[in-house]
Amino acid sequence: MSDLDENLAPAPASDVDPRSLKTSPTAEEYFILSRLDGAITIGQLCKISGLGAEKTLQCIENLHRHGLIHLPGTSESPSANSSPPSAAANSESDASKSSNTDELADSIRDRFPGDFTNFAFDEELLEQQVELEIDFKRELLFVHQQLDQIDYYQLLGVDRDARRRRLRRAYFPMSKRYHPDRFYKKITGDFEPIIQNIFERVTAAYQTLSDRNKRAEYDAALERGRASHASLRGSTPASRRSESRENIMGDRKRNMAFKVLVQRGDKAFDKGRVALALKEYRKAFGLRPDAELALRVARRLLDEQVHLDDGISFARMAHKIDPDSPQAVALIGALYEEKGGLDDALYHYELALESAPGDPELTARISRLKQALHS
Amino acid sequence: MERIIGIDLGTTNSCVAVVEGGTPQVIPNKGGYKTTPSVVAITESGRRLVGQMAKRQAITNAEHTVYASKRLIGRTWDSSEVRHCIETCPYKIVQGPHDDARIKLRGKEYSLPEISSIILQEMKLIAEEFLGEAPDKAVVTVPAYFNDNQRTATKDAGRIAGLDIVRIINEPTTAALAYGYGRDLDSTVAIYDLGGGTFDISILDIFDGVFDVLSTAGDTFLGGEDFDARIIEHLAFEFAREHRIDLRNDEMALQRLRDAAEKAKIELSSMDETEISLPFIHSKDDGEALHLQTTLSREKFEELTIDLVQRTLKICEATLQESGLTVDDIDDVILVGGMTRMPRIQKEVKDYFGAAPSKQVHPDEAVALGAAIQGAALVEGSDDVLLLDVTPHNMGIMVHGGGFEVLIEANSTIPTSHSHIFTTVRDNQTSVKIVVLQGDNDQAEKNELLGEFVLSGLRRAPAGEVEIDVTFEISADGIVSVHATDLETGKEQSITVSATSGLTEEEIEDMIAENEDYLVELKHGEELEDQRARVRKAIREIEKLIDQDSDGDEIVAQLQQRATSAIAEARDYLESRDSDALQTAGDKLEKVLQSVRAAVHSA
Ligand SMILES: Nc1ncnc2c1ncn2[C@@H]1O[C@H](COP(=O)(O)OP(=O)(O)OP(=O)(O)O)[C@@H](O)[C@H]1O
Ligand SMILES: [Mg+2]
Repeated sequence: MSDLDENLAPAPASDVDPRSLKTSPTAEEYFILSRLDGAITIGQLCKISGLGAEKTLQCIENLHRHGLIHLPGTSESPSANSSPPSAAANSESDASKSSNTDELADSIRDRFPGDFTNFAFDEELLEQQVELEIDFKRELLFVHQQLDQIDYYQLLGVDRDARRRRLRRAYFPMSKRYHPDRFYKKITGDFEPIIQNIFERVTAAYQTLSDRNKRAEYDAALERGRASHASLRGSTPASRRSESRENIMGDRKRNMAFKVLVQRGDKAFDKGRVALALKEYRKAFGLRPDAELALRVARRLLDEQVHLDDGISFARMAHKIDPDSPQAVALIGALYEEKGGLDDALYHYELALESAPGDPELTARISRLKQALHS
Repeated sequence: MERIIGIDLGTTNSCVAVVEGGTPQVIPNKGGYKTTPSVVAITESGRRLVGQMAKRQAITNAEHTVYASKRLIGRTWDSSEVRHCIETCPYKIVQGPHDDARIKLRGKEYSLPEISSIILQEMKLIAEEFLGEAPDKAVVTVPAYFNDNQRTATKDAGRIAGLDIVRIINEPTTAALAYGYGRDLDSTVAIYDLGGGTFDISILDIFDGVFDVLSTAGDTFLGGEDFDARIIEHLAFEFAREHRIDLRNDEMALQRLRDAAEKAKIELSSMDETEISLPFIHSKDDGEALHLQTTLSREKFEELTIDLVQRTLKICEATLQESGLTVDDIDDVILVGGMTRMPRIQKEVKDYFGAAPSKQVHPDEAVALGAAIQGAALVEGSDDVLLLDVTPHNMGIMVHGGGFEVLIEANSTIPTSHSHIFTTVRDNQTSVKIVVLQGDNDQAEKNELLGEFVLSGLRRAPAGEVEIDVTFEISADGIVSVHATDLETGKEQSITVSATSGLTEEEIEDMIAENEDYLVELKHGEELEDQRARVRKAIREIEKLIDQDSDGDEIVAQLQQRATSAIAEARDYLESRDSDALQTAGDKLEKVLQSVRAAVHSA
């Protein structure tokens, strides 16, 4: 029936609030919970509960499933043995580890003022195709956006009087969670700078609090901050500016990649490898929809009379970004004309003329086309 | 399956390891040894020799045999290290095109990354034979105190050898990984690593599989070689006193002295006294032969080298202070590196730390094992091991007046970044040069130059008005990048610091191509040898058979005729490098051989 060891002494989990559970415990379960103190064993409890052994065991099992009690020797202290983990033992400890990391996840969420379930996540980022679990993505955004709202003590989840050992125990699991090495094989996209940022902040917290002088300085700054209701962030210039820098850095990388792709495209074009060039330009365009680039590419295709259809699609991209500019529309017209699609050409020229009334070049083209169409 | 091997590229010995089925293990070389001497030689015929083979022929080929090249990698031409090697090394060191040092062997100049690449190539081969496939990724270790130029040069060596070095990590740190892997530790340890060329000390916190480096320091010019040098000096001095001849001016004699000194040093680790006997070490102008015959006691040896040992302890002291700890905080001391087998060193370390050093790790293998552990952890993304390594030197930029402004402090955990706002110092200053440096001196010029770039187009304004943000970043793989942003215009400049490994991108690409050519050539040479052997064997067998009498038999005589001409033809190609012709000749001969055999049997 039940495989609970009668000699175990369950203890209530102090860090879980029963009210936060989806399915709230029954009154009987609550009653059993109130009897537990970490000393009384399951066997004894069955005798004294007045509910009968079966019911009592049932309650204990449910409480355990809800995470409301700890059973010593079950999922706790998984790596107490000192021999290297064998393959078989590994999977077992993985399971218990994952429950440890869930605990860590909950504990980390609790350190921040925001409400995790109703948090305003950056949906676009959340949807980015990367090799990270959705919950972890949420956690990263949740933590990252609020890094500046809590102090180093809160970030590590330690008391103001925490000493070296305690700090180490708080920091090490967090460093494991956010160190970029852990994601070496994973595609992390725009989460990469976020992960690194969190790691750096957690590390700064640990290093500041473990160094006597730095900690004293930090505490003083914290007091000043409290007094003036200023922010409670780190005291170094780096952390003061870290958020804007992070943005700059993301943009910076993107800009650099954009430039490189455009250069590659130009080079390929110069060598006559137009299809390859267009591929590079499209990638660049994907990074940054740049009207100028699209126009330039379309124009060059027109000049060299190659890949005219691609030319049209690039000109359309430019038009989409800047709908009021007649240039892109006129260019579409010219490309159609070059292709021999005179009707389409005429249509686009006339459209362009609407945004650039009286343009002599356009007017000339239109009358020339009309003549050609009539004859 | 993707795999990342671990390589300890040592000054004297190199070692390669891999994690197989969760167990890290060192891969022995063809000779069955777990370490391979870091010696490279070029033979008269242009062939490269590596390891034991190279070491063995060193005496007769001293000028073209390179050892301890790690001491030179990433150093500039006028550095004291290069100066020192020019004086003491038998191989020829010349100035390279980028203010770097190169080694001239058989008329060709080799850059130091190239020399290291030859060793890495060998380690890669050792791993390939064991794994059955060529690994293309590696974690390679360097002394903790290596600066960025030395690290970049090591990375370039990997590229030339066709190995992507995904991480450069610090030797003592990896030794700690080997020590703590698979053990449930909660302790603070000191790693004392005295190898052939370098001394490193690191202090780490180990808990829950996290290896957190608290501080690290070292001396990249203090190792076993220096202990050897003391013996050489001593022997040469005694010899000079007796014979008025300085043996160190004679390349061959010096090489023999060097071998004898190391041998004596090693023997003195287990004996109180050792015999040094070098007969015919020198022949005088009048033809008289001189011999060197003496004994060296352990006591004398210790007296000659005690200051070196003390130097290591001074560095330990500084490192402890840096990490804010005292010897009492250290739970365990781990000895790594061949030199730590010297009893006096063990004793001094014990006295200093107040506890006997741990014997948990193998002094020659721990570093490579740790590198393999880190490689496996990266591939597996596993929860068991996380290394929090540090940057060993201050990093920063030159400021007005030649000062050095530190932006990232030594012993910062990486990855890390830091930014600082600087202002213009002159009225109407429109550009600013950012000089990136690494080192521990207040004066910019006394530190290592990592790179420089110019941010231009600043607004004309009174001094101090325009602000420039300079951000340093060291990524998890140790790559340093620097960005400068003009805060008014948003204009930015950035560099990835890698310009000063001593090689340009183009040169590296040429070297990669050259290395591949060499390997193809080598392979081709081996193929040719095989084909030649086949031709020779066929010739031998045919000759054996047709030597027997023809008995006037018409058919046999005809066959003999055919065989003789085929043999003559094949001999023409035997010396050529024409693989197709050799192949055809071999095929032809084998056909003839068959016919001859058939004829002989039926006769
Ligand atoms: N039994 C011994 N007693 C004393 N010294 C020894 C002994 N065995 C080896 N050595 C010395 O140890 C040195 C080599 O050590 P090791 O192989 O650890 O160096 P390495 O890893 O190549 O160098 P490094 O780490 O400095 O780059 C040599 O100087 C060698 O003479
Ligand atoms: Mg070593």
